[in-house]
This record gives sequence, C-alpha cells and structure tokens, in this order.
Amino acid sequence: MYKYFLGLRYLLSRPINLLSLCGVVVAVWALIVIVSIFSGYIVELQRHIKGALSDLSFIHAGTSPRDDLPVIGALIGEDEDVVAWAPRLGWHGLLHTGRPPALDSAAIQRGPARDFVQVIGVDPAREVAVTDLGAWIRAVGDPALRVPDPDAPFALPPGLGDGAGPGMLVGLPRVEDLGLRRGDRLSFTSGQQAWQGEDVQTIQEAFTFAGAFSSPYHHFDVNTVIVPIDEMRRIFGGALEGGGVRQLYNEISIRLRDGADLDRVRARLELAFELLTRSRPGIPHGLFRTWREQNRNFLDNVAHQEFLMKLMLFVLVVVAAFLIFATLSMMVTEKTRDIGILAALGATRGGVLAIFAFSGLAIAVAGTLVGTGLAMLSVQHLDDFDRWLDASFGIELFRTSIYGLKQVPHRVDPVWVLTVTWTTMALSVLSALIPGFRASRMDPVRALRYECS
Amino acid sequence: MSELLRGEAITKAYRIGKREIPVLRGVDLSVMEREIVALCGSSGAGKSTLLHVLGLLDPPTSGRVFYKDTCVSALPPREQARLRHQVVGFVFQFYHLIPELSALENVVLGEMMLRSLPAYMGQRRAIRGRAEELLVRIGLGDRLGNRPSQLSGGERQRVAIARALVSSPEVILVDEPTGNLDSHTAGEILELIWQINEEQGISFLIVTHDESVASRADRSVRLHDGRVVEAAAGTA
Repeated sequence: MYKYFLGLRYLLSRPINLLSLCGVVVAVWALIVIVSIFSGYIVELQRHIKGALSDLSFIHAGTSPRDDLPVIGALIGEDEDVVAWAPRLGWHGLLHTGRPPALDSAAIQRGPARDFVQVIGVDPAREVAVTDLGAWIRAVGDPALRVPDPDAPFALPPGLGDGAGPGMLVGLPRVEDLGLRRGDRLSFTSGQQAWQGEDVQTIQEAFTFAGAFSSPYHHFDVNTVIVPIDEMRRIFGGALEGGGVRQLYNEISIRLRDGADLDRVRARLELAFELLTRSRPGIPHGLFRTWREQNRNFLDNVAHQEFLMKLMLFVLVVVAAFLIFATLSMMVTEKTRDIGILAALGATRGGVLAIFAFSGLAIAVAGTLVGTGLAMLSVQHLDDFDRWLDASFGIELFRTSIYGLKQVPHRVDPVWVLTVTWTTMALSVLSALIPGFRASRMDPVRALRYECS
Repeated sequence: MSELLRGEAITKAYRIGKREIPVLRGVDLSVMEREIVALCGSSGAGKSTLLHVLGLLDPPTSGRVFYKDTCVSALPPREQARLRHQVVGFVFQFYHLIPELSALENVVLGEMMLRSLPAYMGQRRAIRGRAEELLVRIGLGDRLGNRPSQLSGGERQRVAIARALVSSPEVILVDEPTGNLDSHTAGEILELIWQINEEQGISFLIVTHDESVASRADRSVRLHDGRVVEAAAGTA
C-alpha cells in the first residue's frame, strides 16, 4: 500500500513532474491527431483515385494505338466478374486556349495559356458504365460550365458556326484557372513517333470547350481533358476512306462486379491473354493493371511519408520518456534519505523500486488518458479548430484547397491508438524503472546518513 | 527477564578504496525484554553501526544477530525487512520523517508497510484511529495534520517515536534521541521513552552521549574503538 501512497504523494508534491506529464500528453496527442489526419488523407486519396479510375485497365505496351479491340474486348467480356468495359485512346500534349499556335517552340512559348495535359478519348456511352463520367459532369455547379445533357457530353453550345472543333471536357480546376466558358476555342499540340527512328509526326488539333467535369480526384481533374474517342482515332490515322474510323485504342477500362477480387480477376485475365498471344502470335503485348497498381508509386510514396512521419513523431514519445527518467532520477536523489527511512520501517528493495515505477506509471497513465482524450476531442473538431486557427493567426492546419477536399480529413484507427497508448506507457514505465532500480539498490545506512553528509 | 535481541561476536568493517576500516571488532551485546540499555562511547566508537547491525539495516562482516534465540542475520532480505517492521522500531537523531507527509500520515506509513491496498483500505479507519490515539497520547493531538517542517524538533521526535510504536515492536533502537534538542525538550523525550517502557514493556537500546541517560538506564554498555570496554548496571 505504501508504494502507491508514497509514489503518488511524491508525484503531487513536485510541480516539475507536470513537465513529464505534459510531455506524455503532447506526444500522445500529436501521434493520434497528426497520424489520424494523415490516415484520413490517405483514405480520401485512395477514394478519390478510385473514383477517377476504373477497377482494372488493359494497357497497351506500345507507342502506336492497337486495333484488335474486338478480340481483346471479347476476352475481357468473357470473364465472369467483368460487368462492363470501354476502350480509351489517350495521349499527352500541350493544351492552348484560342487558336492553335504556330508550330515553333518560340511561338508555343509566347502563345496564350498552355499546360501539359493527358488527353483521353472516350466513348461516352460505354465510358459511363466503367467510370462515373456522368456524375463528374453533373458535379459541376455553374450552369455556364456544366454540360446540359450528360448523355451527350461533347455537344457544343448552339451558334458556334462550322469552324468550331469537336467538343472537349476540361477538369473544373483548370477551367477556373483558364477562365473558360462553353464554346471557347482550345487547341491540343503534341507529337507521335510510331517506331523508333521514324520522324516525329506533329499533332495539332482544334477543339471547343464543351463543358467542365469534376471527379473526386483533384489531381486527375487538373491534368486531364476528355475528348471523343473517334476524334483521337482520326488524329492517329484511323479515319477510313468510306467514312467511319478504325477501332483504335490503347487502353481498355474494365469495371468488375461489386465484391470481386481485383487481383484474382487480373491474374485470370493475364492468363487468358497469355494463352491468346500464344495461339495468335501477332497480338501485341499488353498489361492488366488494377487502379491501385497504376498509382502504386504515388500511393507507396504517401505510405512511406506516413511511416516517416510516425517515426519522427515517435521521437516525441522518447523525449517524454526521457523527461520522466530525468525528473524521477532527480526525485530519487532528493529522496535518498527517505529510502533509508523506508528501509528502517520495513520496506523491501522491491517496494522501493515499486514506488518509483508506480510514479512513472501514474504519469504515463494520466498523460496517456489526457492526451488520448484531447486527441479524440481535437479530431472531432478539426474543422472548427482549423477555421479558428485561420481566423486568429492566418494558419491553415490542412490546406484543403491544395488537396481538393472540403474538410480536414481524419480517420482514427483504434489499432494505432492502442499502439500509441501501450507503447507510451511501456516506455514511460521502462524509463521510470531505471531510477527505480538505482533507488532500490541504495544502501539504507548510507541513505540515512545522506542528509548529514 | 528473557533475552530479546543479541549480537554475538559482531564485526563490521568498511572498505574505502583498498583500505579496510574496522568499525566493530567482535562485539557481544544483548537486550532483555522490558530492558532499557544505554550504548555510550565517543564519536566513531561504532555505536550507530552496532545499532544498525542489530536492527538488520546493515549486515555484519562477521558474527550473528539473534532475535529470541533465532539467528536472524542470515535470513533473506525480505524476511529481515518483515522483522524490521514487526519486531524493531527505529528512532533517529535527525527524526527522519517523510517531509511530504503530515504527522498522522508519517505514523500511519508504518502500518501501511506490510498491507496490500485492499487490506489497508479495509482497516483504514482503525489504523488511522490507532495512529491518532498514539499521537494524542504523546501530546500531539493538535498537530495531526502538520507537516514535519511545521513542527518543532521535540514534536518531530515525538512523531518519530509514535511511528516506531505504531507497529507494536518489541524493541526500539534509538540513535541519539536528544542530540538535536534543547535540554528541556530532551528531558521530555527521555521521560516519554521511560514512560513507554514502563507502560508497554517495550525494550529500548539507546545510543547516547548523555551520561545521565546512561546512569538512568537499566544497563549501560560503553564502546571504544569498536569494542565493549565496560558494561554496568544503571544507578537510577
């Protein structure tokens, strides 16, 4: 009994122990709040990426588009877990406002707004079955920018005349950045080299801004424009003499039934594709990639950042444990005489050790409880706190505008909270045990004489 | 009267660097039940060391300590701690109270030693009541809640005596109880010791420089250079 009584009394009678307590509180608070924000951000990020991509994609490995859509489409469509698939023909290049600039580098650099973009040619009727293209179009609030009929996304506003290029959908952040209005002229400049060693063919096409789209993935919206796939097919030489176009494509977006195992379906399709290429050697190489694999580098990078941040924040726990060690070491020195008295009263070495271990445990438990409570409270009111910080000090805790989020994301992982609390408590008690052992090994007679010496 | 505590051929030497300094050189000493023994001698004679050895705070270099004919100096540390609590009480020259605790809590602390938290909580009222009663009996009824820093030297020594008494020991080892007090207060403390001995039959081994204490004790033993040089019955 005396261990708890004295341990607590020693703690309460020394204001410096508050320092250790604050150290634990801050460490636990930071570890829970900051990691919750980061975890929330990762969850949001994955949701956003997933929202802008199909479940699975078949990606052509070559530089020129391929024209075996019926064969590959049939192979994909035969899988029991595939709900829909849609061809895409994508490319990269510079997007200009206004008429196409002259094709020399100086003119391109002098010209109006230009941005490097990914242009995706889609078949709207099939695309809506594999991605949420319809929802992205409806998500645009401004009627001046919104496509009136999502089923005909590339339809142009009336009265533009014959010179207007085909419709192009542009991501809302870029639209706002460029100040576009429906019907504005846009041009796309790029180059293509069918085979290594051949001349680079210039691509320069005029388009008309048909409307904006807003997917959940800010990065996708900023960097992507969407055009009719047939226009892309024509650009890549797919126009047929009698009218119509060849079914060129370089990607197939695939949607799976809900609950399907992505990796298993991918493996199955890979096997089917391999068998196909064996039976028909002329089929060009292609890859099946899940949405996660397509963004693996980015997601791994973010996950690694989270790991590094956890590591850095963990230093706070070590500092808090060191504070406990330092304050309890001071306490042991101050209480040397008491240790002799306790021995005279019948305390064992284990009992003396327990006094200081209990002190450390009390700091750890109180600090962890307060830190966890404050962290939970903070997480619940992150947006209010962020607004208050912004209004009072002009500090944005989490710049939602950068990430295209409406509120500060957070996700409290109970396993992480338990890890933090138990690790903090274990380290705190460990750091209290060191001075505790020193106290328990003191010679009681020397300890009694300590004051007199 | 039967023998309560006995030191047999006790030697104690401290090692400082490579030098070994003998403090006790084969001391034999016993304390009988209900007896007050005064341990006298000049500074450095080994009085306090002998007290600590007999109280099982410090192991002898050689020799044995007996409690009621049982050798206790070879017991494991945990058993020795239990004996220190149940059989022996200590009172020191510098009082050695815990500064963070009130007079009452300092006394109660002794009773907490061998009790678990539930056991203590179950008997809390009774234990506090007994400690209060002890403090009232030694004249500190109005100082229960005061911390040591708020008490005079004499009052602190009374609290130390109450703390030694609370676990109902059979012998109390007292190291210079009046060495830090004025003569009037010293007289009061000595009177209290004799009163406790008479009323409760507790034996005392008192380390003292005060010749009047030696002459008043049932027996006095004089140490010189780590050896017993004289043992005499008291004259009071």
